[in-house]
Amino acid sequence: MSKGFASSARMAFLGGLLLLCYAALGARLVWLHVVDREALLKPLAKVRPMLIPEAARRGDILDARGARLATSRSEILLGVDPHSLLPRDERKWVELAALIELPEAELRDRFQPRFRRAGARGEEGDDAGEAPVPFAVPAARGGEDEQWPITWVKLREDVSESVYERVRRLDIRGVYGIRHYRRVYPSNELAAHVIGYVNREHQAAAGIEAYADFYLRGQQGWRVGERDGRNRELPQFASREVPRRDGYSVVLSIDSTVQDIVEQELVQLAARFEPRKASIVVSDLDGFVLALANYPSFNLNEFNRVPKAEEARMKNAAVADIYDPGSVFKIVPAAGALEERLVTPQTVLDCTVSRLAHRGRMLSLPAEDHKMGNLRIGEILSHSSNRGAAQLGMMLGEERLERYARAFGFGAKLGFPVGGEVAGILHPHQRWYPIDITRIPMGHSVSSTVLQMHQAMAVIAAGGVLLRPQVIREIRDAANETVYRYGRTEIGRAVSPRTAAQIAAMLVGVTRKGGTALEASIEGFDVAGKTGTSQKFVDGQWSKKHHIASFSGFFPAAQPKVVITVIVDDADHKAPGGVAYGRTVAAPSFKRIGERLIPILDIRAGAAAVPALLVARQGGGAR
Amino acid sequence: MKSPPTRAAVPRSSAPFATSDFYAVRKDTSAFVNQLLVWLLVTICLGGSAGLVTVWMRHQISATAKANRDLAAQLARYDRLFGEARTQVETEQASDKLRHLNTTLGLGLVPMNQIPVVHVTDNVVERLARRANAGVLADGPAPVAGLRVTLPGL
Repeated sequence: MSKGFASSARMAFLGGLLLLCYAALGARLVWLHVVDREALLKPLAKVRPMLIPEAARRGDILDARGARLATSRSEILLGVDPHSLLPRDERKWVELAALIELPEAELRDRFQPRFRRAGARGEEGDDAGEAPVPFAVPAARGGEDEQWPITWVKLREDVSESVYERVRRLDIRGVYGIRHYRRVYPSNELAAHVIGYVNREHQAAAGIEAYADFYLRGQQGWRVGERDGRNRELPQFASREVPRRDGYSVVLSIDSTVQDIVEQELVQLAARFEPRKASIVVSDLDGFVLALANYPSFNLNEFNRVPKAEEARMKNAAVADIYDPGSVFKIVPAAGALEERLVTPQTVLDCTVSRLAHRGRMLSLPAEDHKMGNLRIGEILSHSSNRGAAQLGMMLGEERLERYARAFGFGAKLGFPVGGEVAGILHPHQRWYPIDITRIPMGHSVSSTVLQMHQAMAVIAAGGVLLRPQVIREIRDAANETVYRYGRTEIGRAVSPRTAAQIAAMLVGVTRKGGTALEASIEGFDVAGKTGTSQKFVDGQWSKKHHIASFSGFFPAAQPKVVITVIVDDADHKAPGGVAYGRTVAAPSFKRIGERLIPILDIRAGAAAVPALLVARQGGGAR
Repeated sequence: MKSPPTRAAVPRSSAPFATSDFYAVRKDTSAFVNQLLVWLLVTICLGGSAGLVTVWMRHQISATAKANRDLAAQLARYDRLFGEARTQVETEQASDKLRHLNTTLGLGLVPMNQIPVVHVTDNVVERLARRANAGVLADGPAPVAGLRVTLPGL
């Protein structure tokens, strides 16, 4: 080092000065970080931290083929802070109004700065108020007369992502959006009573939405971070983070195509007969419901527009309303008597008798719709003899008849997950009137849901086993991996496979010539089924002008693939002859649905299997 | 011959010039100041460099965190746009809309039904070839339109 450099007093002075500066800086830092620390951190701790919630996406509801019946779409709730608007942006307001389809005058009205008194929160209605979390800006607090600026006015709540992108490009200060998920039902009315809906408060209100809400809703995430002076997040200061977990998807057994066929059929039924209500259920042989529809129905995307007076249309009538099952119930005493070996298929009963002794008392048998004679068990079913069914019931006796009725699913809930299922009415046999033993076998003095009637018929199709009706096939996580799969669930065995096969064979006679429902027959297939026509209880008496028409059956009878039940409530005024019989109203619907299901479900009467899509139309030249 | 005494051998008190001691002391002091200044400069440089590195690192951390957050936001945005498009497609594929389009566009598609459907159980290629050859070899014109596939639910 040169002598001149080292010997300069100025240099020494400069060094000393630098040291002094360092010392001063250090002292200041110690002052700020130690002495004044608490005082300086207090306001920062209030302003800088931010809790950022991260909404979880609600899972989808899929049909059996993977089509989305319910999904969640990201939408933006667009609002404005009128106090942040700048005059230079005014020329963009017209474009904004056009983008969000709001009249310009209304937009300008909402852009007017407003205030409210401190004690008058919420008086401005839903469209105005403080910004929803996390954008709330606390107003200066004062006395009751303090004026609070209204910092958020809603402009529109269903702005799509693409429109919001264009709104953001306008760069109007004070206009901002809050992202949220909205439930969308792409198929509108399809399976409305099964799917249910999520209301405007994002609460699952009905159907699968409510039942499987635990799986569907997911878990909201959040992170604690800090923000800068412009309210922007400072990601490097994120201290805690809980990632969101999107909801699981629920795969239903409902097949959109089958459901659509059923709903089209209901539309036709409604147009033709103008019934009060109608329900159709289609299921497979494992108890999984392929379609369940009610008339009238509603659009899931507009559930809040159903008038108060018509809210009954939102009820799942197939599981929540009860009817007299009528002659469909006759399969119960017939199966019971066969199972107990009280009769054989060849047993002949005199169905002309009008009175019979039972437990030391003479009971009058119900009237027949037309003249009957000596009938075999199969003919009692195919001709729907009331007196024959009554005799079978009397052979069984009250205790066994009740036991078989319960074994077929009557009088108790079946465990269907949606729709507010009711148990129906089947009193304990100790409480029966003496005459009930002649009326219950023909489906009177007992009430059931449509689903119970359907499952009773499914007992015969499934070889004597009562299955739990199910509508959920699988639960899948956000990565589309199956986390739970529902399987066939047996409630109990009602009758032996042999008895079930015998009853199935007898029920084929119903849809053949001489049976009560030739209208339900399908060319090339053996159809087993049973009609039902029951009077309605109107104004305190059994009406002869109001009936419930039903048909429940399955096919192919030997190897059933599908069970279909059609119930039409009060279609008399448009029915042929003024009476809505199961034969004339419900059976043709069964046939039409069945015929359309054959190619879709690839139902065949014994031919070798071919791919479902490889079908040729005769009309198209494939000869 | 007596050699003159060296400066080191001469007692300080007997040094010919007082300035000699003064230079010595001054030299020692200069060395200390020199060292102090050098170390000060080194400390300033090191401290400054460390500070700059720290600031740069913190900036990089912030920039990376922000970039990550932006990427996540971008992914979420694409996810949302994809979801929106998917929902739109699903809505357009609803049965009632397809039926409406079928009517509006006059496509003439009919519901699949058991009655007009023939299950082709033999070899489809052979069957089509047989039909085509029959048309070619026949005297009359070949049949037009062979196979029509119908859409479920229409």
